[in-house]
Amino acid sequence: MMRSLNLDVRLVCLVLAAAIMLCLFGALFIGPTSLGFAATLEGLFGLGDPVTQMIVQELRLPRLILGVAVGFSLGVSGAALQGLLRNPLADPGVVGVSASAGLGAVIAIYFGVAMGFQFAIPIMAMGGALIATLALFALASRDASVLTLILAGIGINAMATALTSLAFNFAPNPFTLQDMVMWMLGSLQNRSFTDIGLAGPFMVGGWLLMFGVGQGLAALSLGEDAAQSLGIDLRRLRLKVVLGTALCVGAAVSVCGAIGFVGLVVPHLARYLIGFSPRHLLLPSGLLGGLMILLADLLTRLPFWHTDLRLGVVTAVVGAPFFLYVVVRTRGAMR
Amino acid sequence: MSSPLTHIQAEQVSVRLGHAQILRDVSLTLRSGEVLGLIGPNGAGKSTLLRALLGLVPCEGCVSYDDVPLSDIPLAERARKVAYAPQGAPVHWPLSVAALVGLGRVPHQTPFQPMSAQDQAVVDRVLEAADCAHLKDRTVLSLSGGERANVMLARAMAVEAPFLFADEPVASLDPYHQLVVMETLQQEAARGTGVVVVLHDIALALRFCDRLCILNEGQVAYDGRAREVPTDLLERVYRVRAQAEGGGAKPFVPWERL
Repeated sequence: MMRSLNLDVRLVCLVLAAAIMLCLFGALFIGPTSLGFAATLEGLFGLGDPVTQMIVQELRLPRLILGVAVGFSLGVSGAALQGLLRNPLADPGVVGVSASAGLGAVIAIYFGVAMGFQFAIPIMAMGGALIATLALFALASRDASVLTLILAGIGINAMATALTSLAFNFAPNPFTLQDMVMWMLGSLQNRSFTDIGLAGPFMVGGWLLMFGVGQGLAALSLGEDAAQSLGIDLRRLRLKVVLGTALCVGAAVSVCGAIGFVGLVVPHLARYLIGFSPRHLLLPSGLLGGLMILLADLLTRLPFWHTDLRLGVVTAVVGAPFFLYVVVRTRGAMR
Repeated sequence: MSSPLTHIQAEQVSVRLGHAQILRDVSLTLRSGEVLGLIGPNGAGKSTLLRALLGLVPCEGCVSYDDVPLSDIPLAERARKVAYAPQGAPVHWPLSVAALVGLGRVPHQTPFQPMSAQDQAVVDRVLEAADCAHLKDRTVLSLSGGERANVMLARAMAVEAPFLFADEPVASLDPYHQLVVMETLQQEAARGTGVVVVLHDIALALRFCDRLCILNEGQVAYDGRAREVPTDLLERVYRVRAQAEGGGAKPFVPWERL
C-alpha cells in the first residue's frame, strides 16, 4: 500500500524551492561551451566578455527559467486535474489541450508559416489550445458531470492526435516531417526571454486561477453532493481548473513542445511527501515539476549524447517506469 | 453554531428527474431541536427531498430557510446552516479519518486558512461523540463499512450547523452501532440541532424520532408525532403485514408481504 511521509507542507515547499534555486544556479555553469566559474558569474551580472554575457544571459538563463515555469505549470495542472477528476491517472493531456496546442504548432510547420515568421509556432500553438478549450466548454458546459468533461477531453485529444498524424502522413518533404516530429518531442533549446514574454503571462494567469482551488478539490474528495453541501461552487471550480490548465499547458506546449508524464507523475511524488489531501498538493507539485524539468533538461545537455536528445523523450523515459512503480505501490490504496 | 436557523420550510416542492416525477407538491417544515425521521419505501423520494432542501437538485415550489428563499442564500452561507451526510458517499483519496472529518470545517474557513485550534477541538469532539475517536489516525479506505458510516456522520457533525441531514446513516451498521448513531443524533437534537434522518428501520424511527414524515410515491403520506403513526398506514405504504408489539414505543416488525 502506498504510504506517505506526511511531511510538513511548508518545509517541503521550502526545500524544493531551495533545490530549484541551487539547480538553476548550478546549471548556469553547464553547457557545450566551458566558460569557467568566474566568467559565468561575471556574464550573469553583465560584466566581462560580451560573448560570455550573451551565452549566460540570452541562452542559458532563459532556458532554465522557462524550464522551471513549464515544469511548474505541468505539475500544478496535473495535481489540479487529478483532484478535479478524482482520478490518479489524469494529466493535462486528458482535457485535450496539449495535443491541440501541438497540432497548432505542427500546422505552422507544415504550411511553412514558421519559416517566415519567428513566433508562428507559439502563436498557432496557443491558438490550438484556445480552440480546444472553447470546444471543451461547448461540449461539456451544459452538464456539470465530470464524466462528460473527461469524454469531451478524450474526444478532442483523439481529434488533435488524428490531425497531427495526418500532417505527418502528408508531410511535403522529409525535412518538414523531421521538424514536426522533433518539435513534438519537446525541447528548451535556444529559447529566449522573448519566448518567456510570450508564454509567461498565460502561465502566470493559469497559476493564479488555480491557486485558490485546493480547498474545493479537498471537499470534492467526498463526492459532488457533499462538496456542494460544504459550500463549494462546482461550476466555478471546474471552470478555474480547466481554464487554468488550458492557459498553463497551452502556453507551455506552445514554447517547448509536448512534454509528457510530468503532470501525471509529479502529484504522486508530492502525495508521497505530504499526504493525500488535494488541499495542499498544488504548490509542492508545481515545485517538483519545475525541479523535474530542470534535471531532465540537464540530462539532455550531458556531453555524451551523439545526437540531440529531446526533453520530452527524457521525461517519458524516466516518467513511464516511475509511473508503473507508483501504480504497483498504490494498488491497495486506490480502491 | 455560527449561523442561527430555527426552521426550514418546503412549500409545494416538486422534483422531476428526466421523465420521472420524483416528488409531487411536498410541503414540510423542519424545526430546530427535534429529530425528524424521513421514512418510506424505496424510491419514495426521501433522498431527493433532502437534496431539494439543500438546493442540490432543481425543484418547483419554494424552499426557505427562516423564511428567506434558498435561492437568495449564497452557497457558503447555506453550508454553514445545513450539514449533510449523503447516502453511501464515496471517498476518493486515502485520507486519514482526522483529515476527512476536518473537511467538515471547510464552510468556516477561507481557501488558504489552515485548521485552527478551534477547528481541531470540534473535530476531536465529534469523533468522540460518534464513537470513532479510536479511528482518528486510520486511513479511510482501511475502515469497514460500519466504521466508515460513523466517520461520515462525524464529518457532517463537524460542520456544527443548526441543521443536520443524515441519509441512511445506519444502513450498514450492526445493532450496537445503530443505537450509537441514533443516540448521537438525539444528543445533537438536544443541543438544539434540527436533525433529519432517513431510515429504513421503522422500529428505530419509531423509537428515536420525535416526528415522522412518511413519503410514498413522492408525496407526504404522514407528517406527525412518531408515536401516533397508525400501524395500518405503515402497512399500506410498505405493503407488509406488521406485528406491533409492546407498549409505548410500538416496535414495528414486518411479518409477511401483503
